[in-house]
Amino acid sequence: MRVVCNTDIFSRKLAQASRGVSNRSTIQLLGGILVEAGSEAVKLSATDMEISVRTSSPAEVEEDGKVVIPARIFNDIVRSLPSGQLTLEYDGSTGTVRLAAGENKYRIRAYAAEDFPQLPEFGEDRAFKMTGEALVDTVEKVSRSYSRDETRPVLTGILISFEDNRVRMVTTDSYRLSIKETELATTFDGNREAIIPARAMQEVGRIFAASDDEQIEVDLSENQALFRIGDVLFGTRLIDGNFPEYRRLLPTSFERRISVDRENLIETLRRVNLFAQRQTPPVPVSLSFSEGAVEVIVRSQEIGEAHEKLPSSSEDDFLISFNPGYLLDGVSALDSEKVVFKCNEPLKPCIIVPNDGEENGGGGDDDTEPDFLYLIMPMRDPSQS
Amino acid sequence: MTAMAETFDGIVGNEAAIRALAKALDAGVSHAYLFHGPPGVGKRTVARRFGAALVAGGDLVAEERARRGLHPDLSEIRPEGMFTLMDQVREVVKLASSRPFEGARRVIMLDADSFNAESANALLKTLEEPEGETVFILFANAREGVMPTISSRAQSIRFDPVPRPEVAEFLRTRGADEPELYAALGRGSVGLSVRYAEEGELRSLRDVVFRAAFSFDEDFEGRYKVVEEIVDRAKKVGEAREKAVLEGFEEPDLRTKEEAKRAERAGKAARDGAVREAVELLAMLFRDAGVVRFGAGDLVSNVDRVGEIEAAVERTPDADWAGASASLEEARTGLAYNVSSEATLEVALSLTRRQILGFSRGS
Repeated sequence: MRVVCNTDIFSRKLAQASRGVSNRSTIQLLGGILVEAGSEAVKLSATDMEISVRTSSPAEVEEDGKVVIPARIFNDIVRSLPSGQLTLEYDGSTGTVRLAAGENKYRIRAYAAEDFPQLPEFGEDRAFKMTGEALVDTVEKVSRSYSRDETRPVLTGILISFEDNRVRMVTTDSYRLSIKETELATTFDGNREAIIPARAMQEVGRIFAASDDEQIEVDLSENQALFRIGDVLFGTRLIDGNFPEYRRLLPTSFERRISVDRENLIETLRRVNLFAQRQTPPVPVSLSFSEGAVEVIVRSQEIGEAHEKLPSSSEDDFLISFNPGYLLDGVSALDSEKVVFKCNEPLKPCIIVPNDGEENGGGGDDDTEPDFLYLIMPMRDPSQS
Repeated sequence: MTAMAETFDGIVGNEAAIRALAKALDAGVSHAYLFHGPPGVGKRTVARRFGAALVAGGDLVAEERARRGLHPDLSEIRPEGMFTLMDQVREVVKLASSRPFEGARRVIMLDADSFNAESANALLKTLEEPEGETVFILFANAREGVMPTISSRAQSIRFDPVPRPEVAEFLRTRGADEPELYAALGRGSVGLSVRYAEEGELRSLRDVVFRAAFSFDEDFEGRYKVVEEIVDRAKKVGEAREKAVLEGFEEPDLRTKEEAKRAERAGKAARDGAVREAVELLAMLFRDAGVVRFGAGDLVSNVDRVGEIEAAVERTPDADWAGASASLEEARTGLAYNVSSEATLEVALSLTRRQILGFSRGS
C-alpha cells in the first residue's frame, strides 16, 4: 500500500475515526485504525466492539492495500505534523508502516488487516433518510432519563420506533420515563423498532453537530444500527431484551392539571435545590399547591430550608414531593412557555407535559396528545409521614 | 459435516465430549454449557474451538480469526486472581444483552470455580434467561464444586485426563525428545506434558523436587535449603512466563502499564502454579516409590529415574509411601488459601519425613 494525502485533511479524518477506537480492550488490534487504500481515497475504520466509526479521506493512491495502525501513536504523530503532504506506505514483509512528511520519517509497527473485525455493511435498500435536526433533538429530549446502571442493560438504551412518518423515542431508569415523538418529512413503509445504547445515540449527535450535513441516513438491521452523516458512517450494537411495557405505566385519567410558568419554575428549582445538594437518600423538593399558587420547599436537616412561591393554576390544596434532580430534568426538557403537571394522588406517578394543546385550560380529555411526556415517580415526604 | 470435523481437528483425547459438542453444532446448541474435569485436560482449548465455530456460524475465515482470540463476539472472562469480580460480571451481563457484533451469536466463556456468592447471584438471571442467542461456556474442576443453581442451568460436558499413550503420540509428532516421560509427568494433561517437553525451568524444578523428596536423611537446615531451592525454581518458572507474555505483546515500545501489569499477574500465577506443581511432583514421586515397594515397577511415572527410586525404597524398607503421599493434602489446601510457599513446603516435607522414617527409626 502506498498513498499520498494532505496532512491537515487526513489528520482531521483520522481524529474522527479515532473516536471509535477501544482504549481498554484486551484485543490489541482494536486499539488500531483500519486503513484501506483504493479508488482515490483512504478509508479509515475503528471499532471498540460496541460502536464503529468509518470515514474516508481523499488521497492519491499509488498502490492499493490495507493495514491496521495503532491509533494512539498514529494520531499523535499525524496531528503534530506541519501542514503539507503525507506519504503512507505499508511494508508487509517487515510488518511496519512508513510515514513520511518532508524530511520527517517515522516507522510504526502495524497489524495485518485480515484480523480486523468484520464491520457491518450499510444496507442501502433498507436505509431511510431523515433530517438530522429531528433525530438529534429527539435524542436530546429523552437523554436525561436513561439508566446508568449496567446491571439492567435494557434501561441503558433508547427504545426507538419509526412508524409511518414519526419517530418515537422512550427512555426510563424506573424512576422516571421520557417519551418524545417527532414528525418527519419522510414516510416509512412498515414499522421499525430497536433498543440502541443511549450513549451511542449521543455520539450520533456529536458527529452531526460537527458536520455540515442536514440529513442522516439510518439503517436498522437485526444486530446493528448504522447512521450515515456526510462521509462518516457510525455503527452501534443493539441491546437485546424486552423494554418495559411503558404504556401500562401511563395513567389514563388525572384528578388535577396544574400549569406553572416554566422559566420561573426552573429558576426556583435551581435555587431551592441548592438546599437539597446531592445527598443519599435524596432530600425531596415539595410542591405545595394552593388556590392560584405553588410553594416550592426544600427542608434539609443538615443545611436548612428554602421556600419560594410562584403563581399556578391550581384550585385546591395539594402536596406532592419529588427527587429534586429528576424534577428539574423533566421541567428543563420542555420548551413550552408553561409546564403542565398532571397528577392524581400524592404517591401516584405524575406526568409533566408542555402546555401546547392544553390552551383550553384544565378539564377535558387529551384530544391532542403532547409530543413530549415526562413521567416521574413522587417521593414520600418525610415530614408528612 | 466436514467443517464440523475440522472444528475439533488435532484435539487429543476427550472423544465423548467432542462428539457431544460436534452434535450440538449440527443439531442445535444449548444456551449454557458446563465443561467440568481436572485442570489441564483441554477444557479451554475445546471451548475456544467450539466457541469459534458458534460465533462464526459457518464463515471459515471468521472461525479461524475467532480461534486466535480476535473475534468480537467470542469473549473469555479470566478471573482476576482468585475471583471473577463484580466489574467483570457487569461486563458479562452487558455483553449477554447485546446483539452479536458481526457473528451468528455471542459466546462467553467463564470460570465457574471463581464465582463468589455475589457474582454467582448477579449472573443467575442472565444464565437462566439470556436475552437473545448468547451461549455461555462455564469451566469447573468438578461439577460438584459449582453452585447447583448454576450447574442446573447448564448442560454438563465431562472432560477426563487424556490417556498416556495418546499424549505421548502427540508429543512425538511435536518432536519431543522423551515423549513417554513427559506424557507420564503431565498426568493426563496435554498442556502440562507439552510444558514439560518444552520448558527447561519446569524440568529443573522437578530435579530439585527429587532431591527434596529424598532429603529425609538431612537435618532441618538441609531441608530448609532445599525448600528455598524449590521456591527459587518456581520463581524462575514465573519469570520465564512473564517474559513470554511481555514478548507476546506486539508493540513492545508502546507497552502500557496495563500490559505490564497483566504480564506480572501471569508471572505470579505461573510461579504459584509451579509451587503447586512441586507438591504434585512430590506426591507422584512417593506414589512411584510405593508401587516399586510392592513390586509393580512398570507403573512408575518417573520412568527416567527408576534407579534412584529403587535405591530410596531399599534404604527405608518400613516407609509408608502411600501415607507420605496422602499427607500432602494439607499442603494443597494451604496453597489454595495463600499460605506462604516456604512454610507450606517445609511442613509438607517434615510430615512426609515422619511417614517415611517413622518406623525404621524406632526399631
